[in-house]
Amino acid sequence: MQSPKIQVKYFTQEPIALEHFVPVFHRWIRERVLDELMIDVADYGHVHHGPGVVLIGHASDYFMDQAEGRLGLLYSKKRDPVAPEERVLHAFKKVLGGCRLLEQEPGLGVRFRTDEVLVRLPDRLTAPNTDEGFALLKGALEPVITKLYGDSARIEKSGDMGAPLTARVQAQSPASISDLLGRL
Amino acid sequence: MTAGTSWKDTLKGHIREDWAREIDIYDTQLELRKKGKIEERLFAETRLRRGAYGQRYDNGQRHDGEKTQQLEFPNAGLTKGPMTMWDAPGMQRIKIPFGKLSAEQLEVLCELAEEYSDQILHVTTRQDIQLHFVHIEDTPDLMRRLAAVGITTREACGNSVRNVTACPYAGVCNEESFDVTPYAKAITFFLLGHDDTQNFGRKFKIAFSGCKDNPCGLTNFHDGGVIAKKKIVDGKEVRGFEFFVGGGLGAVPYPAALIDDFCSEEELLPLMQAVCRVFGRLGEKENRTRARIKFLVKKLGVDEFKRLVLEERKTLRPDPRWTAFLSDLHSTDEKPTREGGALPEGPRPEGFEAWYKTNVRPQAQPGYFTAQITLPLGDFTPQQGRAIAQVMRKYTGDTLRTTVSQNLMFRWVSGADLPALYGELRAIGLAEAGADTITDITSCPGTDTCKLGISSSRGLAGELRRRLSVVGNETVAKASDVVIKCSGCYNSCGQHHVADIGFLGVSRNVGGKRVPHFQLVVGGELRRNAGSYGLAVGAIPSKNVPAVVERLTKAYAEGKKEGDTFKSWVDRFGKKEVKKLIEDLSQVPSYDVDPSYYSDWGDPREYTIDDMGEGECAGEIVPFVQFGLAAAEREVFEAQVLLEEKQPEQAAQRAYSAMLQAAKALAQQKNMNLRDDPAEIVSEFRVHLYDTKLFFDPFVGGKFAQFLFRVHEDGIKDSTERGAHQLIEEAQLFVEAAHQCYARHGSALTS
Repeated sequence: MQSPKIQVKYFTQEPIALEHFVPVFHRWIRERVLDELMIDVADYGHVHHGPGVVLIGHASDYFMDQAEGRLGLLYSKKRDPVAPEERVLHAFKKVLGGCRLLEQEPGLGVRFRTDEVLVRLPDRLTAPNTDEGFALLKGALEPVITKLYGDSARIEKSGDMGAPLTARVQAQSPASISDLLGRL
Repeated sequence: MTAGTSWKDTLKGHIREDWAREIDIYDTQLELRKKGKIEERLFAETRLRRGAYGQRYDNGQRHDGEKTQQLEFPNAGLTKGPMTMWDAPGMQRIKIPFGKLSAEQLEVLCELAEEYSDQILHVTTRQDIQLHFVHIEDTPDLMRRLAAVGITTREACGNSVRNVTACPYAGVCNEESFDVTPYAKAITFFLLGHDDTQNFGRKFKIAFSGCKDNPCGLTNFHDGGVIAKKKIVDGKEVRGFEFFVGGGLGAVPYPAALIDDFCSEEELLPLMQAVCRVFGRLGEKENRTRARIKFLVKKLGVDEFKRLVLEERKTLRPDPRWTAFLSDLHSTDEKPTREGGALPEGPRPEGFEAWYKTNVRPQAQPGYFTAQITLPLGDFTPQQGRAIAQVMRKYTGDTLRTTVSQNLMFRWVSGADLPALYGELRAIGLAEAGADTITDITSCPGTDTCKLGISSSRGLAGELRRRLSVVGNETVAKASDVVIKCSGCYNSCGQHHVADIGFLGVSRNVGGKRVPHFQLVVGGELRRNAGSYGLAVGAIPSKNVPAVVERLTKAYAEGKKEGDTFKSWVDRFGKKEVKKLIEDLSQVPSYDVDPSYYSDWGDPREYTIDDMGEGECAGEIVPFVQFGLAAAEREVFEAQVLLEEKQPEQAAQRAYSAMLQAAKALAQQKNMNLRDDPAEIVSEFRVHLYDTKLFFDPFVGGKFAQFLFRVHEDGIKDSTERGAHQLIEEAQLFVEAAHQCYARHGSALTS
């Protein structure tokens, strides 16, 4: 996969008010909970179906994203080298790691569903939103999706033409976040 | 377009040659800076002139609510300017001349927000678009992609001519003299990169208005402001402009001064060029805090400034561009997509009537309407942006305007299409009513992303918006014409001076802890192109601001008479009464009683201003300093009341006295025997606070102290209402600076 930029989103089982994530992300910065440089928290809760609450980092961001009106944790890798063949695996480890941390947050009560995943490449130069682009993305996704869900998961093209190249993964056999992490 | 291995290759041939070259040069400079071959100050100005700004925490430090932590960016030794880390995310400002966007341009902006930013496009109070959290190394490609659709970021920042703004109704307004769009476009591209605009000591902002009375152009607070005007000459109607210079908000707001009451259309560009030359030649270069043209106009006097400009005009070499655009003034005309028509009868979508009432206006062209999109805090998403582009193509002439109230505006919508357009906006969550009403609050970025932010203006604006938007609130309905604007500091990017109710972020030290506050500013006027500026009434803890707004709007709703505006009501009600109405809300409970006062809106961290740069003191309480500062604040307020009572001489005297009070409060920490003698106070203040730089503001240095020194040394030279108004503004800033000095240095003042 050419693009160093990749986004992966897991959806929450139930909607939760965004304001609850603001102090959590601030604390993650303060206590250096993540193993990378995190810088600030941006709150876009006022924007309809927007990026929600964003934990801004240097190499990646974590969004409690509300796009399409569906809340979920979206991990966005922005920069710094990860070997091309490792990019998808790396992003899934990061997003699932983030989901696990949030599920473990005392009092937050968030749970993620694992039977649906959104993968997006926000890089129109190296990952154009075309059928050829999707074929390449699907090829890059399959080894990791197979590891996570076996052969039964479906990978389909998603989003309109103007949007970044996007794949939606539908899994038949959902598992817990910890189980999924264990498979990676 | 064929995909290449880089955006530079891919867009080859799609970008104007000169623009492509400029961006390539910038790209090279970026590489040279990485290798240490360009000095950091030079690189900083280079990137700023391309709109690439710094952002909060870019010095590599962030207060986490408990302590300041180092942000360990990878290229730790590399900077993109003084105290600005290379890898720290920054803001990219994108100039949108007179706010006009095509669907294609909007779609590219959406792509950039998705690929380089945090999925948000932000409309500013000067019709720009800003993207935040952008890495410096992404900026050359970002600029190339913009250039390919006809947008340049050149001179979006730095000491240059900034985005030229214009009334978003230009060309479709019922009240304009004529369409200012072609003139705004001509001046934008004439001055862009012009030799005569490269030598400024500070920025230069130009605004166009099609009429004198409405607030859309806000020419009164611009460095160069022009208002369209027609007159009959030899029986023939000719076009021209009222030409103003030297307006500005910032820490001390100045109204613009008229230098030509009818500048012909042929003379518009050369006259502005001559103004730029005089500003470039004579404007302050060393002291940035007095480098805007308003200070030059004040120093020289309007008549002398005008004389110099007219002299300069005679020396200009004729330039065909001055008048070339006049041969095709219709080149900027917009063509509607659909036939004009009436609003259809019959059932309408839910919420349509309220939206129609506040967001829709009939155009001068029968059958067509403008329709505003009320953006919460000026923000929208790429998904929404793409949907808006589709709406533009379907219902309008493929144009959109950004507005200075941080909204978007469709034009050329057929009345027959309004319900359908509303339905499409509703589907993307952008059909909110209330454009330009009490709920449509303007705010600068404040502490969210701005390095100079003191308080969370966006947090406050969001909270006020949430509370005021509650459906069925009768007070809000009665006070819906009130305009609220919030700035995170005294630099006024939120334009609080011209609001009915304005707020500017300040902080106070309470019991050794810092508490976010906002100064309440009332009496401003948005109409008549921002016709008058309000004055601060008092500082309110951030968490009490919603209650202040509630009381003020309630009093206004109950007390307003037929034809009243908020300003006319305040003028009648009196600032003394306003102060009395909210006095109790200025109190801050102790931390033990209510710690919520010690954090800001939308930010759970314990509040600090450490992120502005200077270290915070230990917060030791020195009661008599606070007493002295409180007395100074009171005197500033009294000065305002005297001014209101038409006693400008006494008001000016009181403002001076307020500065002396504050200076004494601080100087007394060094000299307990200090007497009430102005000369002694000023002398001691100079020795202990100014010469030692203890009083210096981290960003503007000794500017505020100069206010005291000037009035003390020169006396009160201008006792007119305008002179007193300005002295009160200066006293307000001086007292505020004294508060900040005490907060920064605390016990160190006594050592």
